[in-house]
Amino acid sequence: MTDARDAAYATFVRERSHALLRSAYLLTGDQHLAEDLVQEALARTHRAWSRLERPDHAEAYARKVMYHAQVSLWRRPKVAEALPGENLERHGGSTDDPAEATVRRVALRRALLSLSPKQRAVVVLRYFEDHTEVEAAQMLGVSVSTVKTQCSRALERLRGLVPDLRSLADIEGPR
Amino acid sequence: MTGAGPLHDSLSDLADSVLPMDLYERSLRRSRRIGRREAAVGTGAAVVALGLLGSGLWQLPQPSSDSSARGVAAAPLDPSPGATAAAQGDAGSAPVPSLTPGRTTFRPHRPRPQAPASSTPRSTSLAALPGQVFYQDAGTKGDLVRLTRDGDPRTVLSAPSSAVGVSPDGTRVAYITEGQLMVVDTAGGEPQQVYAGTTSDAQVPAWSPDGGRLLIDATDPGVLDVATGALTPLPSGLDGEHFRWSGDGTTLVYATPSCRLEVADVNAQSGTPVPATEDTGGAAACRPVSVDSTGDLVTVRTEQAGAADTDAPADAVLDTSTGETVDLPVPGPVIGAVFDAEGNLLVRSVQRGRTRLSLFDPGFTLLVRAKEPAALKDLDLVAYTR
Repeated sequence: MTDARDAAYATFVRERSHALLRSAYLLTGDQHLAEDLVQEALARTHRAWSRLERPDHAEAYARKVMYHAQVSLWRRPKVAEALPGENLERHGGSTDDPAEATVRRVALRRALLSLSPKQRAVVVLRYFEDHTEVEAAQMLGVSVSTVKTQCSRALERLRGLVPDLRSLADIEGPR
Repeated sequence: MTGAGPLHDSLSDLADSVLPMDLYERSLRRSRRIGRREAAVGTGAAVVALGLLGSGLWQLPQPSSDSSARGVAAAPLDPSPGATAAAQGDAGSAPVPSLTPGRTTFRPHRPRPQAPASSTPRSTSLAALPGQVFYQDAGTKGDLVRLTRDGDPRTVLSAPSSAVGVSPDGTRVAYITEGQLMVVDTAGGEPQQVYAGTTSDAQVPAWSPDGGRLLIDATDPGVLDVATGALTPLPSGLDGEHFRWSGDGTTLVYATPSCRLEVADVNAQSGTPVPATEDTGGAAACRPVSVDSTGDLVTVRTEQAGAADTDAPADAVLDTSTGETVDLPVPGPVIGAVFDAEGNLLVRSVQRGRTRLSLFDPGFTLLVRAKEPAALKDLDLVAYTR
């Protein structure tokens, strides 16, 4: 790469890594696995950098690599699962009660990890990154009906495992 | 768009848990490694092409696979002391040399299983099981349990909290905890740290057939001499995870970052893709669990099984030459399958609520089919050893 491209890549990585890490953390449930996943996505993006004309293209490319890698590769979550509550008190939550917020996070994290990788990816794409079903299908390289099916099953399981999300039945059912 | 809502807010709150991390240097190192691998593959392909041109084989209108293969196959590697009788016992099958750069040894094809109707076991007693069967609790603690011919399962390792690698003789277990590679005797005793700086627990420590080395993921995947602590990185062309040794120590099977299975001689600079077939949903079978004595067959977890727990045991046996699954003459669906270093295959299956263990020798003769103790019902099959 030229110096200008190197600089552009460095800027992209340093500006967007944390956003990618946030999604990767939801996909993996673990800080280290999330870093591994984003590292892989960034490395593939670096290989393709000369073909990517704009930074937003680079981020879309990186996210696509990340989701494909997470769905297709085996990523082992057990160590993370063995450390309940890890990292959960470092940042404030949306509730005034830190203990309650921690319990909610632990419950949601465990529920997410109980989903299949594809279901987890669909949930993150639809309800964290706010993509449409069509966009999620394009991102994952599957049909829209697959996204709907996976989403429906995932939400059903989340409702069963996270009491706070039972009210989602009417608000955020499959659409 | 779904817009903001309770689930969005909850996910966003959970995502706040991740710590910021500067991944610039790490991504560049990984990119360079990918580049070296691509270069190695390109070079290997060029060498093969030049070899074909030089040999004049390109002029042959329809060369048979045998003749073309013999024209370019390299000399076989020295087998390790762990080389098994499986290959020697298969005197009737012809050697099948490989054309591909990652796999250059001559390999006899193993026999395939007989039809279910002819699969009468030599014994239906668990007491006839010659080896040790290891199971792991699928929960967070991951307790390791051993079953022997006495039929009484015993916990041999409590709460390793990660996947384990059981040595081929069943006497030691390796596992990773907080980046440290630990080894402990299955007979008891304190775990010993044998390496610090294991970067990923996606690579379960894989024992060499002689039990002297462990394939782990350090900065890059490498082979650790357990006695000396020396780590030898794998060639950069072998880019993947979930590496597993064949029982004779000459072959590695692993998954690439794009979820393909590849096979490589241990000294090769790059691997050979296992063909993707509809049997395994294309590239779905990307987690090798165990390899037979020669690298001819591998047990894998296929996506069709569809379990949410991606750490689930193998449910199929693949032919690494064709990518096709091998029909196993066992009762009911397969819920676990492992090769030992000698090429014996232990299959766990369930039918009408009964779980059975079926042990096949390398020639796929059914040695034992016995009912599994009920106490093991909720555990995962992880290894079968001497």
